[in-house]
Amino acid sequence: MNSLFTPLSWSDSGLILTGVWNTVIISVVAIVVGTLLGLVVGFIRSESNKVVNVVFGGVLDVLRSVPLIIQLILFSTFVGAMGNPLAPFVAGSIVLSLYTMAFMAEVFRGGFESVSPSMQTAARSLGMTKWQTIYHIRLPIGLRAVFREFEPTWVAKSVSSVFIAAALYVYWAAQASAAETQKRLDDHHANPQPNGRLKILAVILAIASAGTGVILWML
Amino acid sequence: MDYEFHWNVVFQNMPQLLNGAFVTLHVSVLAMLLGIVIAILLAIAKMNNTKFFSQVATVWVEIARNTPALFQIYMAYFGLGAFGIHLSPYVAVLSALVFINAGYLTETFRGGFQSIPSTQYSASKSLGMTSIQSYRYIILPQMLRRIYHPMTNQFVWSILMSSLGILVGMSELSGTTQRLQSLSFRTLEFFIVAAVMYFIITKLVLFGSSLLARRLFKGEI
Repeated sequence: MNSLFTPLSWSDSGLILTGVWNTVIISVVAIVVGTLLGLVVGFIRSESNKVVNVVFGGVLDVLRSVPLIIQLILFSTFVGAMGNPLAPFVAGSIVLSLYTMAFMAEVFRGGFESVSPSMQTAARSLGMTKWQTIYHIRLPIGLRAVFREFEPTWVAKSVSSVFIAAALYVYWAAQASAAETQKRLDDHHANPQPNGRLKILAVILAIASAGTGVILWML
Repeated sequence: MDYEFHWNVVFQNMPQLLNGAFVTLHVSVLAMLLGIVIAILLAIAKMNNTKFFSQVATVWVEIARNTPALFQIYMAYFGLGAFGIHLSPYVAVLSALVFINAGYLTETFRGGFQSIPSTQYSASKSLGMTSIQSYRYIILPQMLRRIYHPMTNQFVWSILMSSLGILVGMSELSGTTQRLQSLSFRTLEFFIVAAVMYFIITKLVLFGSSLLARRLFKGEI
């Protein structure tokens, strides 16, 4: 059992730092893009009629009640099957942004609907146009209601699920090479990976996720 | 789009998928029940004046709430495995989920308990109730009303988080899906069906909980 930990050395720290950096980048992207999209969708939901609301609400409902891994795998395989596979990092960013949007849209919608109609009527009676009312009254007051309940800790947690997109990429590549090997039907191409290398890979993955956990805790 | 959908293999393996869905539900119900028990103890410990107990509870809550579920499942399976404690995938995922649920629910319970003003307790004492009676009839019913929806939310989260069992080879819904798709190479079909099943499970749970709430609280929630 002792030998399990020996392969890890200081030279692995670059790998972990790369992972930390990717986590930070993808969190920032997901929070910024997700919040902006959520603002737009939340505004549309609070403004529009029932039909549009049912459509948007259904999509947001699906995004919220399907696990993130399933969404990541579905999205990255879907774009792959359509013929233009994305890098795991890009696919992860897109899915996480949409996931953030699904939660933020409801928060923003609640904020916009908390602005009382009489205040808007008052603004209109002062001679403001509809868009002036939105810009000067609804947005500022609605956003103030929103940002008091803004707590994005779960975004950082979900980021680690991007590991799975990376793992899926590995599976996909492995499947491709397996299919290749089958096609040739040549025994010499089927070289199994040595056991030690897989062990090192497992240890690096475990340590990297531990490191991610520590970093996320500090965020 | 030059992708052809083949749904046949999915329908052939439907019993296995349903079995996986059952395991998902099973593990999250169990994790929720155990989590509630531990969370009650931790909430009591956290409000305790003895520094040791409240610090243990605080450390547990902070670790559970601020690290990803993925990391905790990894630690339960590979981390303990490296020290010679080999848990089965089911037990590893279950213990990680119990750990997370306990952490989140502790804060829910503590918040719910502290949101009941202490004057309620004094008032019930002045009406001649014993301590147990005032908890049973005054404090706990009001508290349950406030923590019911956060608890439902946590249950849905634990269903969604149990999908991370895919990583350690657990045979719940997403793990079964992963295994079946690697046998048949029909990735897209299997994961679409899994997504639909997760959606249905979540909606059923929410529906059931709203029915239960209507019975428990008679519409005043």
